[in-house]
Amino acid sequence: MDDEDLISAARAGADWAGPMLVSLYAPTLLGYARGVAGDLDQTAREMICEWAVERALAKLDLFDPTIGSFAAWARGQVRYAAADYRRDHHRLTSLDGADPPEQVLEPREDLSDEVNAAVHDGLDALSDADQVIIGLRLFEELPSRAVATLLGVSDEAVRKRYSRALQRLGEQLNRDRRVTNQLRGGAR
Amino acid sequence: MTTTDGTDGRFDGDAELDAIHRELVSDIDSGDVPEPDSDDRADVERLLAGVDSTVLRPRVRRYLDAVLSGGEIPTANARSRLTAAARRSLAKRRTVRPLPVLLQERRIARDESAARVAEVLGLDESRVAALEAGNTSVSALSAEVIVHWIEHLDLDRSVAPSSLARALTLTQSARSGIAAGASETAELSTKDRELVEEVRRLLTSGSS
Repeated sequence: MDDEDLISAARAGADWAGPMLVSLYAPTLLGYARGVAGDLDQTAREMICEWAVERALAKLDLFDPTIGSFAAWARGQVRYAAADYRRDHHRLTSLDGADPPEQVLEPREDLSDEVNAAVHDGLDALSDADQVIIGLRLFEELPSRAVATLLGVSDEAVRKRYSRALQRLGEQLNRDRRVTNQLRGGAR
Repeated sequence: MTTTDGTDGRFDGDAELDAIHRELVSDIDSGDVPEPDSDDRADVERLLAGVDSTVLRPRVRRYLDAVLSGGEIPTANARSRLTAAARRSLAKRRTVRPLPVLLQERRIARDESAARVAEVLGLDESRVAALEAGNTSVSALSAEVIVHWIEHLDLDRSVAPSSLARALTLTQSARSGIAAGASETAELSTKDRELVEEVRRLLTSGSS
């Protein structure tokens, strides 16, 4: 049975699809949760994955296989669940005066379609390796030490690669008038 | 992990992925790389915060899937919890209410008449009433009209396709003579499955 049949069965609510999906994807999701939430204990990571599985199946109608793999989509659910867990946990621990969570950069909402197109073009001009490192650090939200473990290199090597990739992308965007025209004079 | 021919065994001999991996692990400067200005770096990251991995090249996405697929073996407790979560979610999917019922509830909640909905969809008012009551099957409508109906009433897109499938299944069950309280349900016909898929595609592609 391929993924397409399994997902169709899950969409129809077939009970047997649950254990099968868990067998196929639980190792990936738990391993990924260790990467994005390595600072949390195993119980917390399992709870995050539990939420992710429940939501992934509840929202299964939104999964589009032409856009990406089911594994990538499921990892996204783990990221959202991890963010919710941290938010809920912070609400509980902030009463005890714990440190606030690390600031998360919010996307700029004032970007025009032109600037977004320029960002896409800038990314497309990067090498495969640069795209991978940006993918792992930014889109998959993995800390550099987790990326280092995955790739079998040092933490410092990952940091250097990531810095260089951002630098190359930044240089590309600074040369692109679609970006400089909008951002010139804007808050930087 | 490294095979006898020097490739990374994780990629099952996929030459493209091996090439990406070699580039990643070999091109590491031993010298210092000047750090980008922290404001510049934050600017670039913020520009990227609005995009996701779908902008990456397909072979890069394959590499990410491959390198992230390793994971960890679930404990018995973890497997049990995840399986229970999956079953809970699937059970809820089975109790999904039919689309015309949800649409009627939305219409009433918005204090909108069936006549107004009929006007928007280009249908007779009597037809809208029949659709809402389940006397006429939604399979009589095109995917575009169904999506227009969903969008006009601002129904949650994430539940719409499964609700449509539920409505079509009930219609098929009635045609098959399966009793309303029976645990079995009819299978969707190929035509109905295609209708559900087309509606899903239009909703996720943002047809509006």
